Amino acid sequence: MATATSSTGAPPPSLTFARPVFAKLSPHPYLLRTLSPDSPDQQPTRNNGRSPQQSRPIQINTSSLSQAHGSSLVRTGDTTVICGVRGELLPVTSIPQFRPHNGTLYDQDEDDEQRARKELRDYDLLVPNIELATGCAPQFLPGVPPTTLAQTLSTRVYSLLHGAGVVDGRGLRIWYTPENKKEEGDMDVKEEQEEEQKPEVVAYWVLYIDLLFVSFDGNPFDAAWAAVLAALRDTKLPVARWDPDREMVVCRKGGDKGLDIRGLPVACSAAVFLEKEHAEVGKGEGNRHWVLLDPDRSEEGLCKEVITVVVDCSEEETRVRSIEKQGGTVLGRELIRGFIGVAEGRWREVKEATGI
Amino acid sequence: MADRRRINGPPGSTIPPVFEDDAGQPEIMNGKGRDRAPNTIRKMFLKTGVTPSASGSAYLEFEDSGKSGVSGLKLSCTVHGPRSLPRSSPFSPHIVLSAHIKYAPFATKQRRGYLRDPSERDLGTHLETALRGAIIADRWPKSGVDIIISIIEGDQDRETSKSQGDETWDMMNALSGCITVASAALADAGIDCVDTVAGGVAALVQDAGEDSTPRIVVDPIPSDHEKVLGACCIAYLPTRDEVTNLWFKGDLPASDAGLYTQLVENGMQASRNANRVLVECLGEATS
Amino acid sequence: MTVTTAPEAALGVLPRADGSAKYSHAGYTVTASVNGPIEAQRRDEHPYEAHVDVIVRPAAGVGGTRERHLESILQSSLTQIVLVKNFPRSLVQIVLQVEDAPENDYVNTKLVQASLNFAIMPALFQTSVLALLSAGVPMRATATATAVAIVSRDGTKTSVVDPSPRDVEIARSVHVLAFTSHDELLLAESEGDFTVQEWNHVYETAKDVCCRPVPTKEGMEMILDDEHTNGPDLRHFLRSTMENKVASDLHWK
Repeated sequence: MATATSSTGAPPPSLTFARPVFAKLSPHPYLLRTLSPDSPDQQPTRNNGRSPQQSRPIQINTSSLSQAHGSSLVRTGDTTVICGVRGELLPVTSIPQFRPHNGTLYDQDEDDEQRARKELRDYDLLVPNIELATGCAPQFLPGVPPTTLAQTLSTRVYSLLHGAGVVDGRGLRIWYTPENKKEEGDMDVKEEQEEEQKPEVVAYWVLYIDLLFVSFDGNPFDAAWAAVLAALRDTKLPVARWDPDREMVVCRKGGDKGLDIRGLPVACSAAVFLEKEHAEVGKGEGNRHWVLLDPDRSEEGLCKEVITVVVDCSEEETRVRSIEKQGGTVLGRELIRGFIGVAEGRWREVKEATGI
Repeated sequence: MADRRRINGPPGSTIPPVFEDDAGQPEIMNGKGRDRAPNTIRKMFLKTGVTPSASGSAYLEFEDSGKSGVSGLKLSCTVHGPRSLPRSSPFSPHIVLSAHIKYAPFATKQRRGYLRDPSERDLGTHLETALRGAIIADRWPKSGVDIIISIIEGDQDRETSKSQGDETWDMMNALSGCITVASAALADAGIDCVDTVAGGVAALVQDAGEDSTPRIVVDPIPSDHEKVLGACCIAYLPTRDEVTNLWFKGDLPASDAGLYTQLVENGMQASRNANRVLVECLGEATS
Repeated sequence: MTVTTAPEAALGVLPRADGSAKYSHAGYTVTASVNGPIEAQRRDEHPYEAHVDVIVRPAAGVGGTRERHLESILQSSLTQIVLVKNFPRSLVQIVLQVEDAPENDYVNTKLVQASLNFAIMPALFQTSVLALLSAGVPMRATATATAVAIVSRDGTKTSVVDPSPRDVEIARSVHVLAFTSHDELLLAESEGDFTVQEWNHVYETAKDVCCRPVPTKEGMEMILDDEHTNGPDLRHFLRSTMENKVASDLHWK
């Protein structure tokens, strides 16, 4: 047989794209396909190859910066964040509405720890800030004021710092016992009746906690919180005392004291991926969902519902420090309780990475 | 300053810690001063691809010279582009470069705020000039490229708390680091350049001692020397033997006329050395 | 001892907005206005759905980071109940103005607070839902929210619905939960130090407040049960407010 011309009988070349191109062009169907494979022996996987319950390994390095009193670098996959803690001094004369320790405005039944927590909150002694505009991702370019995401993250870290009571405020106080001034010619003052002057707080340490995102690939809160905690554990403040002659606080070199950090709260986040958006679901149809642990940037863009749980398993009973669930109605009571169990697993991972 | 978009500290101003030892005696140099040969630059560590979501990125770290308290320089650079310019901008037949340098708040001895101050803008302008000579701009009309550098750790000695005007000399070192890291990130992004540009710093310093003569050293650490008389930062293209940016600051003694040229030559030599490291790192990245 | 007042609401208080509501409960008074669906800005428009934009203005001062967080929480919640797919490339704009907040002599009042204010969230939620109903924006369901705090009183832990600022300060944990009218959990925000069992108990309490089934008008069953004094019946309140409004609008008939 003579060879036919190429145009007849040959099928037209099929249009195929590489996988990453499909992932970019139609992300929702692509993720749906990988999460619901045809054959039952194939495990559901995400675009990055992880299973839905698998989170990225976390890597924590501390003490990398020498200009900061404490620092840490946390890497979860491609998300990299650097945290630096700097201490500065705040004399009580600069605090408006300062309440001295023995003031009657404080409740008498509060113990010192509670008072210290209030001081932290009232005098703004912990100042966390998150900087995303470092070019860590194409949507975070500098030159614009902080985006809503950056502000939300800063608020969440601030809320959690105070709510979980991680820093013991008593370590931030600088005490001074004023000397007894003997007035001359005062015949009534007898040696036995001399009262000891009570020590008073003259200044506080203010901790500026600055977080810088070097690279952003989803789930910023978990990485940011781990970095804050690691940096606070690493912080060593110089020993300070009040110098009455110069009327200022001076520090001594050497003998830096670490902060008293209580507990190890660890954050664990997930996003919920829905097969169909709510409005498209017809009556009587089921709507499958997958809970994706530690979502990356592309997955976060496809999911509306997110949950973050902060747990602390340092004691025998799991203490939950914070639950934040918003953006959807899939996660009910049972799923949240199950998720707290998953968070406990993440706690163990992070504890190992911190090296305690 | 109450920036309502950030969490502000206490309304009263806070003071950085003041150490007792500063009151009286001046800071004695820890040891011998500079321990490198006058023509040797510090070892550097350069890595590309640290930010996968950006078009190109690089991370640079200068060696910590082993003395306690002298920090190494740490820089991170990301390049986004070439990308289309916003609609409102006028037509441009070549690529529009915009460089943005920012010190992290914990980078230097004095805590810096989040808003850029004039010195950082100045560094950005110098960087733009340095890179403009290297990029083949005509290949990308109507496009822009953003180069963003975060200085994670400045080059200051933590022990000395007296400024001594050290900040300006540290900025020179920072600029040379910025040029090198930006060049690496541009290569990682695949933007066409005629050559790799690297930065080098040379300074005229005077050591402690009655009869010490000023000498020229390369890649200076200001705390190593009693006084820095002048310094210059050079951005140099070795293959073409061209200088794209030259920043000189200081006061040279009028006695020696050729001192300035010598200083610039040394700066170019430092730049050549840095370039070698840069090319080696890029070669490793592609292999 | 805090005086629990019943919630009060008024609809249509702002004549020029598409919809508006004023709600007050537990010391908080919030006014909301809703405009929409209206044309969206180029940068905000979404090709397949409407964009829900929430703006929260505090009682004093300009909003700071905490208001941005409240806005993002409300936005993600309200996007779930508004039928956004019906209005592509549109904008539903909700502005909430806090008019009154309970005074607290113990709390050191700073103008700009950074940590999240849990006690105000239910009021913001309720007001925005009422305003959306007043504007007639098509919704999938309505939603109600409540705040519960776990306080240690006399050694025992008790849960307090609609805590006062003093309660929030001394509480071991504070929680805000929101439910839709289909009894689904829409929002769960908690902070403090608690266990899973405590959260469970809080969930039950909040569900009881928000999702009590509407009482049937069958004589004997209208007897007030002592057990139900654990807070107002919000769903019933929402329904009766709307019924009153519709009745007054149609009174000419």
